Amino acid sequence: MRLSDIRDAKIKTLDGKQLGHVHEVHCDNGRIVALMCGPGSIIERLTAKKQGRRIAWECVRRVAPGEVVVAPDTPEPKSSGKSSAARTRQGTRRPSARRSKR
Amino acid sequence: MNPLELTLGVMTAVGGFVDISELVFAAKAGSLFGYALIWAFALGTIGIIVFSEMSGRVAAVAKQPVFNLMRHRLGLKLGLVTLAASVLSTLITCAAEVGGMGLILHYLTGLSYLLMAAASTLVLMASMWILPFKWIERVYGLLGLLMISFGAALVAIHAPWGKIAGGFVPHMPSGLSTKEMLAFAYFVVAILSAVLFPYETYFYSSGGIEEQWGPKDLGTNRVTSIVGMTLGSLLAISILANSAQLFGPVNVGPEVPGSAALEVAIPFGSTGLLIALLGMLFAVAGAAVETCMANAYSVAQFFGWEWGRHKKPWEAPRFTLAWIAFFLISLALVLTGIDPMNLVEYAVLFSILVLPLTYLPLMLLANDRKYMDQYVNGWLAKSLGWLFFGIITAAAIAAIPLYLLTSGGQG
Amino acid sequence: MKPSDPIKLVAELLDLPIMDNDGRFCGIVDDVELKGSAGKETRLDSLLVGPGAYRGRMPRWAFALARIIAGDRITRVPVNQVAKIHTVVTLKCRAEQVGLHEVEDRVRGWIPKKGAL
Repeated sequence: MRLSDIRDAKIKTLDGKQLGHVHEVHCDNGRIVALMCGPGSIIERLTAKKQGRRIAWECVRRVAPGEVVVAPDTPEPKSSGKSSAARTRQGTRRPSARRSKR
Repeated sequence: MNPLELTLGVMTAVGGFVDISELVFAAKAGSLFGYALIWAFALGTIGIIVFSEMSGRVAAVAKQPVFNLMRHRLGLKLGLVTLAASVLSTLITCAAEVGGMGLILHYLTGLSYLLMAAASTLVLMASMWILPFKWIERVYGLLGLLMISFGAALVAIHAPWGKIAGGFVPHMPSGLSTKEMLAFAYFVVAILSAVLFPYETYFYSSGGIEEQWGPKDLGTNRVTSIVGMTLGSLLAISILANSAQLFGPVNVGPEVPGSAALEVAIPFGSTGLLIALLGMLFAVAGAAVETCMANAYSVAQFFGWEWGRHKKPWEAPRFTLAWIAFFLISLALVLTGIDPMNLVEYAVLFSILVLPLTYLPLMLLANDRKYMDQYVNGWLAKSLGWLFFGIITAAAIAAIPLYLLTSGGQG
Repeated sequence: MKPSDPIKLVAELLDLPIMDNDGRFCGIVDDVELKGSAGKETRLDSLLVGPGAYRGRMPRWAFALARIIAGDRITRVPVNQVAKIHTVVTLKCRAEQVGLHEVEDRVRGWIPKKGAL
């Protein structure tokens, strides 16, 4: 599997709900942990500040050419004002509460 | 800051500022609109100072030249489109410079223009092979300082300094017809394009990496950008002002570069003419080298090849083949017999279209604290950068309609 | 950062230049190979370098054109050879040890080694 197989792929649930396109793949300790999906505008790509929905890799059910299928009960992200989880500068939630030293 | 290095850097920037496009457009602008377009040169100069300083800072801190970060931010597909457009526009510019050299040598020797274009290209290629980067930059930049003769001519003809000062204030002359107003607007866009040519930033940022700039060189970068570009711009403005004083009142339109040299011949005679022609020759030759190297840098950086003239030619073989190929293609364009003045027009037109895609990744990276740390854009660089990005985007949108409506500024 | 740190593959790895431990540029990260499957443990395996890696990143006609011009070779650089990722990807080894620099070395044979100061 290559990054290009996943990136920009349409992402949908098993029951057919469209969630957008994959515009980022998060990796931690050499392991894929999550995908970011959403409209994936060119402005977001240029600024490397990607908003959107985070989908844990464990929720991915199938990777096909141009398409990624995820479990239908993939949880929605919590609203940014109330979340206590650590956020990156780019506004995406990290898998743990540890902060980087940057 | 090493004072000698700093002085040489500034002088190189001064002598290397003017190229064939600025020469032609400055002379034409002066004869057609008097001193009214001085502000366009000043505006463009502020823009190139902002982006040059930024690209030099990114090179010194992030150790990345413009085209590496362009690919990283734009991605492969959009990056390839930008690369192709940029290579094409810079290639046309290089051909215009080669044609300009041929014309100037034809004036000096009387020999065939095409033969002189071919001979001068071979000499440039030989100099690029033999000389290391610093010497390439310095030789052409310092010899281009003979262009100071245009500044001396402006003093000698007792120019109306009040009117010249008034030209720095943005305005359009009153009483112009609609056609003339459109031609004026076209000249504003063309001058901005000529001053903000993308190859200048590619060459400047790659040069910073060639010279292994680090954070300790940021002062040099700032002084070279501000002082060097400002003084270089004053040379270009002196060509415009001379033309306004000498050609405008008698309705002479300087259609070829040789006409600009007459600006120095009128006060100083044949010695002045010779010095002006030599200054123009070295300035244009330096620009030919810069455009060719800028293209080679762009391609090599985009595809991750070894690059740089701080290495011997065989230590960066694909980069070497690239600059040789670009020189030969430019010469081939000239040898088709196309009028070099048409090449100048096309170079200016294509370049303004590429400018927004060139400067956007630069702005974004220079604003990114993750790469730039404490050297990230301050409020002034950020404000000016986005302001000029807006200006060049507007100019890029207006360029082709204005070119078509005015038949390339003819009115 | 190191490959083991949290990293965004598109924004922080893809299309970065690669430099070996001698400071020589030796390619661009054209794609990234992952080992695993959907939903199961999937790890970074190697960086893909070369025009052959453009296949999944451009339209078919564009890749066909790229293949005519530049060929379709791919070099796989194991992730365990990556020392650092920042504005460039720095390798722990020389380019030749991971199969990079072959084209550069081949083209070097065409360039005369004389005359330059």
